[in-house]
Amino acid sequence: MSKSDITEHFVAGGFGLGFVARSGQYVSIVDLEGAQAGDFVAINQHDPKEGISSVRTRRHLRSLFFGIGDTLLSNYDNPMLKVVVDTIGVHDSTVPACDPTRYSVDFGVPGHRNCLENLHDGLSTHQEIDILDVPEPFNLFQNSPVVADGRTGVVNPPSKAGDRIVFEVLMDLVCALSPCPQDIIPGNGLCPTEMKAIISNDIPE
Amino acid sequence: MPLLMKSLTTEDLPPEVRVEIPGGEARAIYAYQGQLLSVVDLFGRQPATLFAIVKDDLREFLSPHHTRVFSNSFLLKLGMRLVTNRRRPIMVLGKDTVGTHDLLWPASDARYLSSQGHTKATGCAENAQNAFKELGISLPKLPDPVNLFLNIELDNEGNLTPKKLQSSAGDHVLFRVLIDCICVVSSAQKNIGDWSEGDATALQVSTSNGVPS
Repeated sequence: MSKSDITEHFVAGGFGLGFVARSGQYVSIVDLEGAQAGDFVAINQHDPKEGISSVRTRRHLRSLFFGIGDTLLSNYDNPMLKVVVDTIGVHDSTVPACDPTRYSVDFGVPGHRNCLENLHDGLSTHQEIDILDVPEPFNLFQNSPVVADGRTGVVNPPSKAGDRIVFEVLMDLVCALSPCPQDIIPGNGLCPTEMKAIISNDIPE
Repeated sequence: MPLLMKSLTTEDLPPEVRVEIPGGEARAIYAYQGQLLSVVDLFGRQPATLFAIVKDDLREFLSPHHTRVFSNSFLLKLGMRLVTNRRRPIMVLGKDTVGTHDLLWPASDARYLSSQGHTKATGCAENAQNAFKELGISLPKLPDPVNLFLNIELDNEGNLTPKKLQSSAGDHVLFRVLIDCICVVSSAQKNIGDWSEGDATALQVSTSNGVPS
């Protein structure tokens, strides 16, 4: 394939980006510097009420976690994305996006950048959508293990520079990525860093 | 008896309501700050799918996702605050005779039930929407539920395994309500997929101003 078949987007740490990916294409998300969680959502390009669904994917996979070969479902139980490459194997789909109240209520910091608004802004550049309809995110590279007694806690991701996850796109999508701006508690090594999104017609080398 | 505030309230107490929910159906109930909200499994082994919407702002609602992160727990435990999508506590689990509940599973809907062989059943999602509509409330979004009495085993690798329900007839949970809200409780189908528990059975939901019994 020619290089023109590949679109690359660099997304600054703590900021967001929306992009279109069509059925049959591949979306790669790359942690460029390591230890950076990226909140990721996707909606049906033709119906913003159909979005990626962590709860339905969880019921389908019978697991909190997902990896190579797993299909991520929409809120209508339709296949949206399939994991085809995953160099790290540590991701989360249980923690809601940080939002204005995460910072104003939990940490007393109003006005902080946040994933929910980053994702909404990103999707909105391609598809009008109510912020309530922004799906619960898949938090790529985020590390939310199960610990004793069903408890959890977000810790820094083990991902290193260049770690990536690649999805096969199973329906026409608008996607959004937000390298999480959380810089107060562990989750991104206290320093949000840049990520890359690649849209391609073949699995990138 | 309202909450023990420094200034005793002189206002009228909110109405107390008791509703029986037939198996496979859903009912709505208003619950007010300070009240006790009770959900009873009348016949045993019956999941109760709970939704709660803030009365004064339909865009704020009980969120299992925010509840998990608020307490760093995948499981609902006694004493935990259940919080909204704006991270405000809306109720507290104050009594629990069962101990197995779920914060991770979706509400059923007709499409899913149909894929599981229940071609004529409506799911908790549709039943809940209808219960809100009967109050004249059109929700901007039906949130994900808290699944009372539903038993999904979680292991340390993150595997989720549906297990036999643990509740017996009369088992119940009791919440202290912190934000005026509209609650809908739905009696979920329980003869699907991993659960072979027979037809859905009745639940009771009620609000009380009194001391816990």
